[in-house]
Amino acid sequence: MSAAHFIAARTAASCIHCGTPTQGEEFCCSGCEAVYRVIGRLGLSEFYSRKAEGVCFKPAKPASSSAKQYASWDVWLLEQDVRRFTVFATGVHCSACLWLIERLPQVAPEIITDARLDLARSIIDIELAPDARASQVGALLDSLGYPSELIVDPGGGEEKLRRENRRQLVDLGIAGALAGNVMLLSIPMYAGLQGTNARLFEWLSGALAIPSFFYCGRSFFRSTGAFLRRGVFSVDVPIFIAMLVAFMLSAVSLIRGRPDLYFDSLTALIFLLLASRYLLARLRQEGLVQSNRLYAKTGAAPYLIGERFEPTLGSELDCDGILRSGSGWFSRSFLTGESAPTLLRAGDAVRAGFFFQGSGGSDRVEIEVTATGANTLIARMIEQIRCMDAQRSRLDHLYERWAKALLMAVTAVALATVGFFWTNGQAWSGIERALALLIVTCPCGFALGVPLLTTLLSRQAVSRGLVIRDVDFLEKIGTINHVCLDKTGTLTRGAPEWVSGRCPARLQPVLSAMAARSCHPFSRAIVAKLAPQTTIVLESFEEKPGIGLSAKFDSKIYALERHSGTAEALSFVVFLEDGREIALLGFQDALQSDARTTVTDLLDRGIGVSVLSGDNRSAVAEVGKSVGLSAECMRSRMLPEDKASAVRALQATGAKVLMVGDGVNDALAMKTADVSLAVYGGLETALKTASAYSTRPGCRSVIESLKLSDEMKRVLRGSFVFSALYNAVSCGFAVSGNMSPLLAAVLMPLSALTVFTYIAFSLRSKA
Amino acid sequence: MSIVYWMVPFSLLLGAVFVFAFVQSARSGQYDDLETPANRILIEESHDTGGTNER
Repeated sequence: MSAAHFIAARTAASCIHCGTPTQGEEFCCSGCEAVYRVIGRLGLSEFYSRKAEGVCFKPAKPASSSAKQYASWDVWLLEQDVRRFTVFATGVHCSACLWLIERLPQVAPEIITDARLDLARSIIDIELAPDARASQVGALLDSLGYPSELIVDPGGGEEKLRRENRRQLVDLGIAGALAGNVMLLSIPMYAGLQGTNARLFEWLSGALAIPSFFYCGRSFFRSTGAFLRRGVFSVDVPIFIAMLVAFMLSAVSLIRGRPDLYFDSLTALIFLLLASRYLLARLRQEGLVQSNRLYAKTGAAPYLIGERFEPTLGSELDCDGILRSGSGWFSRSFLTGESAPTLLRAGDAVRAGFFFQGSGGSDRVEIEVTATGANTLIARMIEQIRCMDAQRSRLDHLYERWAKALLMAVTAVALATVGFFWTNGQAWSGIERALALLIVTCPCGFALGVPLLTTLLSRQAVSRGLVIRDVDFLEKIGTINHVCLDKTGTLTRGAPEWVSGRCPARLQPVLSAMAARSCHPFSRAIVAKLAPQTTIVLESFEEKPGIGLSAKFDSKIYALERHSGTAEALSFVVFLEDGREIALLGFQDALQSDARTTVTDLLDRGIGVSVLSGDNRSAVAEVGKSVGLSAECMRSRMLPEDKASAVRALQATGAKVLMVGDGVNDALAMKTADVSLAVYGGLETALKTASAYSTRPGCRSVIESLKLSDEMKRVLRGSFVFSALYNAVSCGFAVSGNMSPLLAAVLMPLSALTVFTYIAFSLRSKA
Repeated sequence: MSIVYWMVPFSLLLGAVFVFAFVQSARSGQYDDLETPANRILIEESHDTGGTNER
């Protein structure tokens, strides 16, 4: 298929690659165009006829991929001496992506010999061609619009998880088979079968209930054991008590030849519980798989402590150090969230993760190494975040509190029943009624309903642009009363945009060619706006960090220089031809279009808002003014640790905090906060740390998640009311002595089914 | 009714066979990824019927 075919087939103006509406252009950005060209060059244009309308992810940055970026993959593969590895690919989402990726061994056999994609988990299993390097694979995937990450799994965590998963599934299957058979054996009894055959069926169902209870239900034994030893209450405990009572009562009845058998209810209950557990575990794992991923960046440290070296232009530092001589421009985005470089002078500290953008003067730039590898600031920060992951405390679930209350009420009624009948001289009858009561009134409606509700809501969240990683996210976010927002990338778009000034059409290729050679945020903004071109070859090019760019073309000198004037938060750059001003270009890190409404909505809900930013005071104040926040809510010049302590300070005053951010510099605060959300375009560390992340630009996702949480509360309240009613009615039957085994067998699964139906329908009606 | 003494053990045995088959397939990882194969089968098919055809 030809490119022309696609262009003709387009009806409205939208990006050919990602489907974002545009103002008549073929592509929304140069990133999409680059990806489109790569796909075309590999002969995989069929991708566009396969993909669903307008759902392709926009590449996060103009694809400037090089094998160099993925050099750490080579190091890791060499150390491990393997040729098969797995990567996590961002942006795979539909069968067209599956087709594209699994086609790679055919179109690029010199790099990849086999590729298998797990669509649900976005994981690609790759076999490397004999003479290829892993970094080539990384660059290839990146150029196709799937920036990827190597999965390093030293502890075998993934493998353990997979085995655990299979074990749960096996248990579920066995429990289902046993429940089905017990059910079949019980039908003749309900139909009124008497005599020896009835005895045979009774004993058989009893025999089948034994493995169901003791083998499939062993996790309930375990959690009850934990409760007895350490006092850790969970909803398992009342369920286990009900199951144990049902089993013992049925066993006694079986031996004494009485008709009170609950084996069918018991096995069905175990099956349903395991099914809901399995559902929830699958959901939880999607989050776990991601947080298990490690940084492959801790390769061999190339430097020794105390050694001095000269950084290469445009490179990322891989050690901490002190600037000993000269001055240099460094981009410190991981620390401050700002991508514009700052000037550091001799004596200033530099950190691993800084990008060296050029010397600030004529002196040689020299850095003395102070820390390498795991001792660098960034490595320590990541380690700290990982540790906090492990010690995170258990959430006291809302439904568990309800279950506790229910259990206490039921126990009280049961004791009262025994007491009443005891004093009237009918002790045995009292005990029987109390046992029936314990069996039929169990909080299993919740135990089954809550996982179902969480699963359904997570699905809905995805369609609203929200990927939930922490299963408790929706419940937690419902309790917050303070939101901390990052500025750059969260409230604002995160990168400056070229908003004013026009360049004459004849010089646009020159401007574009110059900007393409620089990695300054303003240059990137120019590249993103102008069509990329390859026809122009500059005769010379020089970048003076902090001052500007200059180039020679067609024997004229062109220059892009910073202009001192600022107005309304715009920064200006002047474009010169032989010293003559051609254009004055204005740049601005624009607010997200929904920033203001989001803040207003939050304040309307009575939720406090503060902004924590690493940027300077005036820029932060400007944003505060335009979203309508007072100056004391705006905190500027905050380092990652400061953000975390600001969150802690808020928590100390009793606030429940939601942290919204996008960068490594927010990650620590995200972990400290009660719940966190990473916005679209965030860095991988932020995405991995956050309890949920947004797949759509803007900060509206905060409001969306609050709405989903309201939804959850509403449905939970409804099922609680139903459960209370059901329990009250069945309580009446049990205490009055009318609870026959048949009635119990009907009521128990019926209650769970009703809760299911209620949840499914109340969500559907809103969706 | 004595047929019951044959049929019941037989049905239980049959059930056990299926459970065994299920356990084997689960342990060999056939249920690890439920989403991708469903998509993959569509791809192979349309590829075989002619990759160059414009649909």
